[in-house]
Amino acid sequence: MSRTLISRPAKLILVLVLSCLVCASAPGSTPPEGNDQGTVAGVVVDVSTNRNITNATVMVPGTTIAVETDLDGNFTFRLKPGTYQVRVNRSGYQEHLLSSVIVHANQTTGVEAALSSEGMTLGEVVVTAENGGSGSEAGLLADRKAAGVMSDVISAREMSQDTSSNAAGILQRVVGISVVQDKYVYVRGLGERYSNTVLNDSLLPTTDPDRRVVPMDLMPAQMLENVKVFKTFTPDQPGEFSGGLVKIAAKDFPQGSSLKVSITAGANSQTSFRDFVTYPSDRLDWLGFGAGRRSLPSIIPADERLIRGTPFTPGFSPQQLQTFGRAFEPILEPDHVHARANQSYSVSGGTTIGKWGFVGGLTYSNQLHTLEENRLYYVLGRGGHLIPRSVFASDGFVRDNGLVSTLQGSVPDEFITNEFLKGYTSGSNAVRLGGTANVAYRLSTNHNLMFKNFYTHEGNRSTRTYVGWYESRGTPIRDERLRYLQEGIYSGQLSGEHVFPAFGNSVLAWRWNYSRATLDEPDLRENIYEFDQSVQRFKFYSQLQSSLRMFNTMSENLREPAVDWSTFFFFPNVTLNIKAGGSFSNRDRGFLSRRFRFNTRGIKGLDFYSPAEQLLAPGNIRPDGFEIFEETRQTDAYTGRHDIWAGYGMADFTLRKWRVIGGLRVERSDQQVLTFTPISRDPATVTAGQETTDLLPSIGLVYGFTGNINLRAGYSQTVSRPQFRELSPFEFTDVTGGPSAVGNPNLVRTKIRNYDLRWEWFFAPQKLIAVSFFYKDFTNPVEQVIQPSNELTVISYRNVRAAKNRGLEVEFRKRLGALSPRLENLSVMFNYTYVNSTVEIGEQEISVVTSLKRPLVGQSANVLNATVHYEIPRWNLEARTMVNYVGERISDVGAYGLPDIREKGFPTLDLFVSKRFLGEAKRMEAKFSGENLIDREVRFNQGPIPYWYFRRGRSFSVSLSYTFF
Amino acid sequence: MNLKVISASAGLILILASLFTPLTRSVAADGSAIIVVTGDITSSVTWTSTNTYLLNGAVFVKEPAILTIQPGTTIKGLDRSFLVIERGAKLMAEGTPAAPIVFTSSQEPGFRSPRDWGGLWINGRAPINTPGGQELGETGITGTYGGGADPDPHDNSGIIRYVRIEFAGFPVAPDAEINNFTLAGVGDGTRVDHIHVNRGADDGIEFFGGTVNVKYILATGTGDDGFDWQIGYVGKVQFVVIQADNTVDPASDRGIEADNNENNNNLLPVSDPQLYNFTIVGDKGPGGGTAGIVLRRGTAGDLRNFIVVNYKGAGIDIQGGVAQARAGSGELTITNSIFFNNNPNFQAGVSDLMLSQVATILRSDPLLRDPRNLTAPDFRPLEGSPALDASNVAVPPADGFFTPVAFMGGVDPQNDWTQAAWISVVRN
Repeated sequence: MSRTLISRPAKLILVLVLSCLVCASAPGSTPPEGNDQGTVAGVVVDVSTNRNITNATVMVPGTTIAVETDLDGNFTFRLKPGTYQVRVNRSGYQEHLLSSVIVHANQTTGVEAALSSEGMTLGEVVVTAENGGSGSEAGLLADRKAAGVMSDVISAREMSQDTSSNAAGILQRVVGISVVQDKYVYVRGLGERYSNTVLNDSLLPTTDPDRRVVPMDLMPAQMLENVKVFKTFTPDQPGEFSGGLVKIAAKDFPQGSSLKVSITAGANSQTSFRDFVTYPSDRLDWLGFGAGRRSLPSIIPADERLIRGTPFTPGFSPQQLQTFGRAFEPILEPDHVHARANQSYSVSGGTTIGKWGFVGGLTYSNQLHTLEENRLYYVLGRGGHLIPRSVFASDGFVRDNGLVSTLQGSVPDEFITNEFLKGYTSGSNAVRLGGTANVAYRLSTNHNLMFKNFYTHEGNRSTRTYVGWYESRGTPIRDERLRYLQEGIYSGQLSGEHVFPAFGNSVLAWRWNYSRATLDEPDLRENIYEFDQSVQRFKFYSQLQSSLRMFNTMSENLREPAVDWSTFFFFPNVTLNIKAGGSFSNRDRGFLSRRFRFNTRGIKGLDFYSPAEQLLAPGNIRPDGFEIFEETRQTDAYTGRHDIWAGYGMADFTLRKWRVIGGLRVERSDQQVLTFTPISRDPATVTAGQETTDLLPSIGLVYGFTGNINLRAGYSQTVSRPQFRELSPFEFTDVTGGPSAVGNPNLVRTKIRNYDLRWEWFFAPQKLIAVSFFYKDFTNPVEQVIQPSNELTVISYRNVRAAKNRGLEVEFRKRLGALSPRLENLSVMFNYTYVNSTVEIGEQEISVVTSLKRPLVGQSANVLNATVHYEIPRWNLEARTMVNYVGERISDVGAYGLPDIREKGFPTLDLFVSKRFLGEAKRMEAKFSGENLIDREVRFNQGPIPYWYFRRGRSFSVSLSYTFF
Repeated sequence: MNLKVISASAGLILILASLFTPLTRSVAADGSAIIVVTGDITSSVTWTSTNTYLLNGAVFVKEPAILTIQPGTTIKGLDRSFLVIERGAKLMAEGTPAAPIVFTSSQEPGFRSPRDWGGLWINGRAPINTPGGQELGETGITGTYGGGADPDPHDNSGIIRYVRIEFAGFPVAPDAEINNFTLAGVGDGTRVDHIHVNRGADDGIEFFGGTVNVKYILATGTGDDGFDWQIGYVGKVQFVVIQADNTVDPASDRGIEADNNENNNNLLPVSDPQLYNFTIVGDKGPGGGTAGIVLRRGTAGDLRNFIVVNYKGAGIDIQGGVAQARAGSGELTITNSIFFNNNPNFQAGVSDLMLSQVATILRSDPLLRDPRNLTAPDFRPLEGSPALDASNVAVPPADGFFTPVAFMGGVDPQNDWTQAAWISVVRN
């Protein structure tokens, strides 16, 4: 991990972070000559309990200074101006090293050190690097205090005490963040297109065919060292930045040797030990690699469409098509099993051998989840009232919500029963695997090489059924869908950091990253039956997705070499940090889908009332029965390429209480999408794309009122580029179940002007109050429009007139010991975000969007987080209660005069308790977590009426972990 | 796994090139020239009867081009092909009773089936009731129709007469089969009569808004509905015969399916066609087939001189509050018609809505000669049929379009247009 170089006014720390191992020798600091001494004042705290540590020894190698902390954990000493190492020791704790403490004449440098106990190792709290450990809260707060930009952070410690097991859940705790669809991160109310994700400072590819962002639910929390969210742009960050940049750091290096294993068992209140809908599993499903056996039968030609030949064109004979059709796996119907408990396992460890350092981890989890959803689709009916069109909701739901009278007039009474209204029932079995393996080699004190590997994988077998009124057919329908989705992201990074003390402590950091994301969705099967009122039985329906067998694959590769160079200049009262660098990123993506369906060539001997596995049994796949038929269109495939060349230069200038960070980034972007013309036999491609060069300036101003109060102001210009599928002129395959989408090759990038203002007070270690205002002004924002079509409603993309986004964030973290000694073990964290956005769609050609001016989709006006943490040190017990509230937001835009669909405000309450025990070292830790304890119904309303309601259920888990050493 | 994960575009192009194989032959077995038609037609062109035209993929006739097709010309569609006449372009396809113009499958007779190719699609600039007055066809694959803010009800897309359309209905998009014959926002300056649609998936003929008047339409064995309108169709129609064949598709559906607007049932102009003389014959055999006529989603209209027989489901159903209200208020009427041997003839509640009209509706056997014959049907009423009782027959307005009649149903027993030589009811 190449850490950012941060500097501070003289009164604060300047920490030059190097990812070195336990190192003892001081970097070659050359104190400039000076007559007046400066002061170093600091505090030493326990990273896990936040308690101040007394009698810790603080030493400065190369000097005679060695002091002990007082009862409050404070220490102070005086030194000649210069850059020093500070080492902190305390028996029972691991040694802690602050590598670059800068002392200015006649000024005080504030320092804080967070120590971790010797028994604590990787996977729980990682205290490695010099500035307090980037995995610890105290260290991260120090990071924030010193940072030139506005950022928010979550430490491994906080993650280990969170009920969420993936990065999406973790990020929800950050001020200004809301998580949409359980995986997309919205920063400051801006959609996922306006945020960017980096792992170990390198961009990541995505498994999502529709978006560029990385679904954050794929990132297992146990594998992460910390997650930072940057909300202001600096030139050393990617220019596609407006809401925020999510920086994930995977597990780093061990302080010493460690090994830890953990095992977790869990249950969900609406899933575990109940009936579970699924379908027959494959041999490797339990490992998350079930795609193999479901893949397209090998007999199916990979390069020819399955269609009958004509006298003019090649193709296949009816007999060949029969053979092909019979090769498909004849499993078409759901199964029911008894749901067992959820389980997960992890092992992690690390060691150092001479100049080598190793760290690695493996996680495995296997989770079942049942969802029962109720959905109603509306139309504007008599008197302009919303009346239900299709009703996929349970009879009980309809009655409980007083919807019977609303249904009457649209749905005949005989179908408002629990036989014909069952809503959606789905069972998903998600298996996640994750692994990290990092190797570091320390050439010398000043030169490090690292090779980091990160892999995350999910295989998800899901089964969905629904029964409900389908207006289009004027009768109830029953739908069964079997799906398997396999996704994986690998990221490999070779990097190095080189310090050149002779050149003003210059640091050269470089990295070469290769990452790859794959999606494999083999053999999606769906069958629809409609109720035949003339014989009162369900009958096979041959239209829509019925008898579908679909195969999707996607892969995205990203290569990114980058180099950063940084140096410091020290003058009396002035510190100057110059940083410059460049990077190139090359992203390519290929997407391919093949769809097949079975058509009736005749009806002889077919009983359309029989179940799918019987009706579509191999014996009925014959030239005068069902025949395989390929519906693949050329637009079902596209490739994309996006190259970005970037260079930047920036300066960070500190003069007394003032600090100015400014610079310029230049990005040249070349983006191309190749799509294939629809329905044409020519393999001619349609290319959409654009080449642009952008100058992205940024300037930030920090004024330090006192050592602990900062006022920050920032201005920057950033861009948001269209995503691959938005540029393709033709309809895209809908992989994940929504309306069809047609891209627009004429889209141009969005330019964003960002203004930020923040006041923050770090009134003690781990204590913070911060208030931020932001304002963002978008030129040519890309928004979805809804286009009318005779078949499916079409979502397309337009550069619309303008959008503005403004808001306020408040954050507060404090231990309550100051109020009363009784409350010493209690700490609270609170954050609140208010966002107000407007987007003006303006008149668009061929559009039926109802509101031409509205808030951004997915933006809640109010988002609130509160955490109460309590600990009983002598029992080694900690408890944490977390509350999250996301206010009402638009989830879908209404059309044809129908109102927008809004997701109602949703609160969650989570609880976490942990206890460490077993001997002096407390090697065993037991944790209990309860998630979504309120279990409020998730409610989406269209106007005042229910549109989509469901519950996630309460989840509980118990885990045991053991630290061997 | 077999599906290769493609990362390089070159590999993908290769795979696609072979997935979508180019033509290998261009001369027919009988020696006549085969002209392969691909892509856009941007300047006027005439297709002659000495050639066979092979539609390859999407073929768009762009404004201001005129595509003229000589009588007797055969056009064969390859799978996934379709012909779109864009707004401002014209199709002059004037066949004759002796030499119809035939749009058909590219398979050999005996091997043809629905979905062998797409269909014929006309886009015009007449009014539709979608907000903004324009709409995409099949999510944009078949172009844009409607006149936008300034529609022309008298828009002229050309002449389409004595045309047969067979074995169409390929799904151009997933879940989106294209109709055999689509008139989308077509104005009444266009002349459409004598059309036979046979054995195609999806609807036989569908109107998306527009004002075009049509006459003499025969739909035999269509996979979805025989005759369909929505989004503000207000034309005049006379002499329509629909024969269902449940063996075409288990989902084959209704004789008539009619909407105003499915998203907002109240949009203006309301679908409100005047329809005279329909014969709609259902299929009680296994497979598809549900209802004779379904009027829903707020449509209005006047239905006269209808014969609706032999449906497994209701002869007529009016669904949804807005359409039912229009039936109650007299904006949606059906009179002077025969419903017989449907189950039931009137969906529960429908007769209550139309009490005043029900008196003119007969539920006796119309005595059709051989309406269920799937190769040589005869829709004429026998002597003594109540369809021939002039006192039961509604007199169409004398407006120059409607033909005066003294019978119910789509065919004149004295002069049956469906028995003409240009019609060909074949199953494969």
